[in-house]
Parts: sequence; C-alpha cells; structure tokens
Amino acid sequence: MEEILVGKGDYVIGGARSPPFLELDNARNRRPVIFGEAFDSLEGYHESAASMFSGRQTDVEEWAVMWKELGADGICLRLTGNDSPSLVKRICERTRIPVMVTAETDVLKDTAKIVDNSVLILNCDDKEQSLALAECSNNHIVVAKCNDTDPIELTEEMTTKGAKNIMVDLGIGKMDDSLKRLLKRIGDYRMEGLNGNVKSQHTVLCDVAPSWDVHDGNVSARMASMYEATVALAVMMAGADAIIVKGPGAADMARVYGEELADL
Amino acid sequence: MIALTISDIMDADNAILRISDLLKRKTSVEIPNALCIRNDSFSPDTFAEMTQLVCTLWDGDVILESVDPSSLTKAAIHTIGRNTTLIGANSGNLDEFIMVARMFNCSLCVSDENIETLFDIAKTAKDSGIGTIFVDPMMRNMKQCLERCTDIKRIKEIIPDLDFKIAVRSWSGEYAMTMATVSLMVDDALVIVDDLDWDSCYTLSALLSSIR
Repeated sequence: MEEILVGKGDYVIGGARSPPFLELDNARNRRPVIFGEAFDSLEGYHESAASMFSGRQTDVEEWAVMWKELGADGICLRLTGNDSPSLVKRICERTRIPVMVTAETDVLKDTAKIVDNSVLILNCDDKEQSLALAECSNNHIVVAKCNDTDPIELTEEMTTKGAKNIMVDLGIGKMDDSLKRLLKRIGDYRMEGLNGNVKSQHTVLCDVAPSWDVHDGNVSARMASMYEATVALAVMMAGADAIIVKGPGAADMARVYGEELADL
Repeated sequence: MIALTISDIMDADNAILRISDLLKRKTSVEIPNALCIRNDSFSPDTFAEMTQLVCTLWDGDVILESVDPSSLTKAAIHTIGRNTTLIGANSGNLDEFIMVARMFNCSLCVSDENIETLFDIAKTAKDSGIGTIFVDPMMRNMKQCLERCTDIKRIKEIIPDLDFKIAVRSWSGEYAMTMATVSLMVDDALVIVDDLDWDSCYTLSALLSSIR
C-alpha cells in the first residue's frame, strides 16, 4: 500500500504490506496515526468532551498544543474563520506535528497556498470539495471523501485533475448499523490493494469522532470515550491507517491498542 | 456469547447480590449471556453449592470451570436441563472431561497453547460424541488474541471439519474488554471474562449490535 509523508516529513502513514497487524502475514511494525480534533468555534461541541481539555479548548491554538502534550500524532483542525490560513501556519510552527484541516473550499485553497513549511492533510467535506482541492493541492495531501462514491473512480478523477497525494475516507466511524458496512469497505479496499490493484492502494483515513453523536447530552466522558475507542479499534483492525478522534481518552486508548497490535 | 465469572469462594449473600446485578445487566444490555462458575475453592462441595445457588437464580447458560472432573460431576447435576459448558479440559485430563460432558450432555471447552494440539484434542472430543466444542488457545494479550484467532479462523475455513468455536478467557476491566473486542471482530467467539463494569457491558453490547 502507498506510504505518505506528512508534517515536516518526519511522520509516515500507511505502507501496509499485509492485513492489519498480522505477524502471521509479515506485517510492518507500524501503527495507525491518531489525530485529535480541535475547533475554532465551540458551537454545538459536546460539553462532556470539552470538560476534558481544562479550558484550553476556548483557544484553538492552545487546544492544538494541548493535543501535542497529550501525545496525539497530529491535529485535525475544524475551522470556520477567515483568518484560518495564517492560523494553520502558526499551529504548524508551534506544534511541529502533522496538521489536518477541515474548512470551506476557498479557505482550504488559500491554506494550501500559504503553508509551505509542512505537508498538510486537506480533509474534505464531500466529493465536490475533494475534486476542487485536487486542482490546487500544492503538494499537500487531499482526502478523497468517498461516502457514497467508489473510491477508485474518485481518486482517479482527482489524479486527473492534478492531485499528487491522496488519502481515502470511506465513511465515518460510529457505533450503529453503519459500522458493519464501513468495516467491510475499509477491509475490502485494503485487500484489493494488497492483491495488486494499484488503484486501491491509497492510505485510509477514518473519522471516529462522530461516535459521540450517538449519545445524548448527558453521557459521561468515560462512556463516550469507551465507545469512541472501541470504534477506533474496530476500524484500525479493518485497515484504517489514520484516525480522527474527539476525546483524549480515546486517543490514548487507540494509541496503546495500535502499539500493542503492531508489536511496538 | 459473553460470560462473566462468579467465584465459588464468594459467600452466599455476596453471591446473591452479584447474580442479581448480573441479571439486571442481562435484562438491560443482553450481557452477560452466560455465567461462569469458577472452582477457586478446589472443593467439590463448595463448587456444587455455588452452582446450585446460581442455577436457582439465573435462567441463562452456565459455564463450569474446574480442573477437577469430580468437582464438575458434583456441580453439573444442578445444571441439568440448561445449556452448560465445561471448561478445564486439556490433553492430560481429556478422557475424564469427555465422560462428565457426555454424562450431563454438556458442551466442552478444550485448552492448549499449541494450535495443532488444540485441534487434535477437539477432534478427539468430537469423535467421542460431544456435541459442541470450544477451542481455547490460551491467549494472554490482545496481540496473541488477534494472531491466534486469525490463525484458527483460517484453518477452519480450509478444513470445515474443524469448525469449532473459539473461546477467549480474560481477566477484568478495560483490557478484558479490548480482548473481547478483538476476538469478536475476528470471529464470533465465546468470551469469558472475570468481570466487566456496566459501561463496558453497554459498549460491547452496542458493538455486537453494530457488527452483526
């Protein structure tokens, strides 16, 4: 499977040569990378999740730094502001770990232009945004959002439009009926790639933060973190190379699970 | 199937409280599906008394865990009429376990760290007329759990005659939950853990509903 370099070039994602983690099949000793979510607006954000960031969630830069302190491999910024491109650049400088960005298309395009000190992951909201970003990714990585789309078709189209580095997102991870289908999609995509289909060899990103959305507002942080970590473990076992999480509890658990399964 | 454990050294009052709590969990989240009674006392009488108490209060499946076939014989009398599985069989005591399992029409779980030996024991039990057989490759951690469950699953796919269910034995807490998650993701295993709290039972129940 494809291997990509992110951040300052010192983080590697992907490169699988076997089904996930299996020493039986000569697996690489490499675990999936964990990105922690940080927002520039807390509107609609889960209160029990916010309680885990000691007040630092009110400043997105501080929040990003906190994720680094907590041991996350990268930060997933979800931005709404117009000053986002310069903000992303500052966060890359301060944290020096891989940064993934979700924002409006124009903001992502500007961000891709001005950030030249780090390889970003441009995390798209939908297929249209993936195609729009493919034209001007400026050597950053563009996420092919394949919720209801064939990943091979979309990544081919993105490549035609100029995208050089692509990750695929085959759907969100949450604890409901959709999980079974998602696990199959991820597993099938990886196996097809391992069986030699070069069009099915991109690294796989999975966002498990929506695990929180299946609970009502009164859920405890522990319970929501257990759901999130369990979904993270399930998608890692299916073949996800990178995970986005909401809570530090799940980030920690997912990292430990990944380290043990990858025999690190 | 997920089973939680009750030790036979627990006093009767505490045992009743624990069974009552587990019954509430079963009603609420369908976990545990079974109770495992463990012969920590090494006394046949104590084991039989606890089994009798559990069977009075618990209407689900029962697992009897002991290394002593005579203790199992005394206890299994109280489980007649329900799905019962015996745990503790290995290459050294297989004949006695087969005898007890046949006498009380129980399922049998056989254990060995070597997968080839494990399948040999299971095959012997099957040829002796035991209906349902579980294979326990004695996994100590999540990594072993993934590797061995996958190995066994692949062997079963190649040799359908060896279609035995995997059994996973683990301790308690968060790590036991991850062992359960890994084994359930790989194959539809019988998971026996010492204990899981309510949140873990909820989470595993939600996972099972999502992936089945």
